Amino acid sequence: VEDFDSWAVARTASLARTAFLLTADIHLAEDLLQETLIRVAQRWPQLRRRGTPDAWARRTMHHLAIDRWRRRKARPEELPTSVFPEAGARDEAEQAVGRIVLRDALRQLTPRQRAMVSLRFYDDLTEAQAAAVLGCSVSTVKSETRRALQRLRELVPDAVASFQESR
Amino acid sequence: MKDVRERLEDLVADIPDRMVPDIAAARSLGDRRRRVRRVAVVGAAGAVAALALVATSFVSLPRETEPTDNNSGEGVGGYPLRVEEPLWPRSLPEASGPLAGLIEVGEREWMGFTDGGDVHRLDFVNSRSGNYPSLSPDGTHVAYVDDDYLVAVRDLVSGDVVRFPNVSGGQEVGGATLFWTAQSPAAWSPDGTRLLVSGGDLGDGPARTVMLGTDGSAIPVRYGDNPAGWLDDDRAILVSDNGAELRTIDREGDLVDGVVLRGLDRGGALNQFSPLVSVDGDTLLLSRIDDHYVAETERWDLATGRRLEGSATTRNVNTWCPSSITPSTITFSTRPSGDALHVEVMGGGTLVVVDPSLEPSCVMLASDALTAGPRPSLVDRLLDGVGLGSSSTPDLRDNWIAWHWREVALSVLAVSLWWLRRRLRRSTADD
Repeated sequence: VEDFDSWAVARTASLARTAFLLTADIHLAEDLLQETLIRVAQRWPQLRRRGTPDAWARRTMHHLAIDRWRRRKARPEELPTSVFPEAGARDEAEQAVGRIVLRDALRQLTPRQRAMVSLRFYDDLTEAQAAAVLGCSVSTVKSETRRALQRLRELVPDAVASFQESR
Repeated sequence: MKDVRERLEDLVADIPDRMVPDIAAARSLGDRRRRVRRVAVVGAAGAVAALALVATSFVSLPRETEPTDNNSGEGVGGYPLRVEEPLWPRSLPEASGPLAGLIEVGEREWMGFTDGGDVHRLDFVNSRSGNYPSLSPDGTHVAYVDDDYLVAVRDLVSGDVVRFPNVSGGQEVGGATLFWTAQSPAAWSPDGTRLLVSGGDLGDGPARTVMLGTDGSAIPVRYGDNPAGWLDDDRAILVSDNGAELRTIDREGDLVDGVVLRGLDRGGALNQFSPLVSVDGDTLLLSRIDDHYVAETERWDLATGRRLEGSATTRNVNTWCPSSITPSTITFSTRPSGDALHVEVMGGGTLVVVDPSLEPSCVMLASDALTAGPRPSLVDRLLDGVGLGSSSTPDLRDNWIAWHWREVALSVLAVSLWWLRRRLRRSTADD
């Protein structure tokens, strides 16, 4: 049975990508990933016994992302800057612009909508699986996903023209 | 055009290279949070256990100060629906405050209980004398025979004791010239300053009754045989042995008036503690108890001596117990089922239930407590909430769980603590 450190090393890359999709911000994603790892470490004995650390970590990360957004509702909105220092210098210009536009569009979704996009189109979960992760109904998954895609189409019509609602 | 997944993958392609979480710190902080959580859980369980014990003790332990909410010395404010055996029985404090009632437990031991249901031992009562202690109407005074076999009256509010050196519990002791007959009725005046007891001269004198005053006076009374009660603060009723003639005396023991009961059936044995005058002074109640412990109570108009219509039947009556008086009726100590003792109003209807663990045989209540009505405790309300209380149908106040809720609660708590400890050990072993 693997220990926590081995599990974390093996899953960090995947969790980091999901964290970024959920926050659309590299610094927030770092915080989210670290807190998720702490939560997993806190419950590691039980999770190891049950054999479900991956699913629990993913569910916790989504909940933490939504919770964070709820807590921040009373605070001033973060203002996106025109400079994106985290953008990779080695990207070509077109690719870089495309990423920035998509990331900016993701930022304008609600955390729950970002979670839908991440779970459905990046993690390839079914509607039922996504509903189980987020603790909501399948119909909620459907409606939130539809709204998320509609919003993305409005924000980046050329980049997401091929987004399909039905999967 | 890339599809969604490809665009998302492209967006996060280099994220892992730019995010390096501190795994060691995450593990360390996670471990610390787990330890804190365990300590918090166990601490909370311990706190709950402590609270339960304190609450249980508070409900059961006699308080050293005023046991009732009524600390102005005005008297008892009601009666409890249930009298439960205390976990740690204690003696009644000297200045305890008024009591709602008295219980005979075991072999002639006596205990008192407050309107809140707190039970105290009455160590000052001589249980060997055979005399039943008697509680004043307002519950602030109790008359009894002390360890010297002399009659005494204790003020429960101040703790003062008035002894009657010339009145014994029936024994020839010291300078006693009068006596109070064992297992016989006593009748307090409404104002609680006079007490009529069966008894008389220790020799062959004419007195058949003794009037005691809380000021220490003792007046032999030659009229009548059984003190039945008081019409008001100044006039008492005595009944002849055959129950046919009533005599009214004043506070000095002098004869004032006499009435013959008309239509009295002379057959059958009167209850040992019958007759009784109702609190309102209007009615005389005569009870006969047959061999099947069924009491038949008839009512008589004290002004005219005429019998009033109707009678009341009470079953499973303990024949050797004094009755208590309410404004218009009397109560009996009954044992309708099981070992729990009930106080029932004549004709049926349970007022108080006494814990069978006390081995109770008789319960007597202060008349003011009966007049004031029941005072449900927190436990009574909880029992009502789960359908075991007095307002439930059927009344399950003497259900097993109703008497053993503390043991059940402590068992549940112990099992919870054991489970938490086992879980803690398992988690530690896993770590």
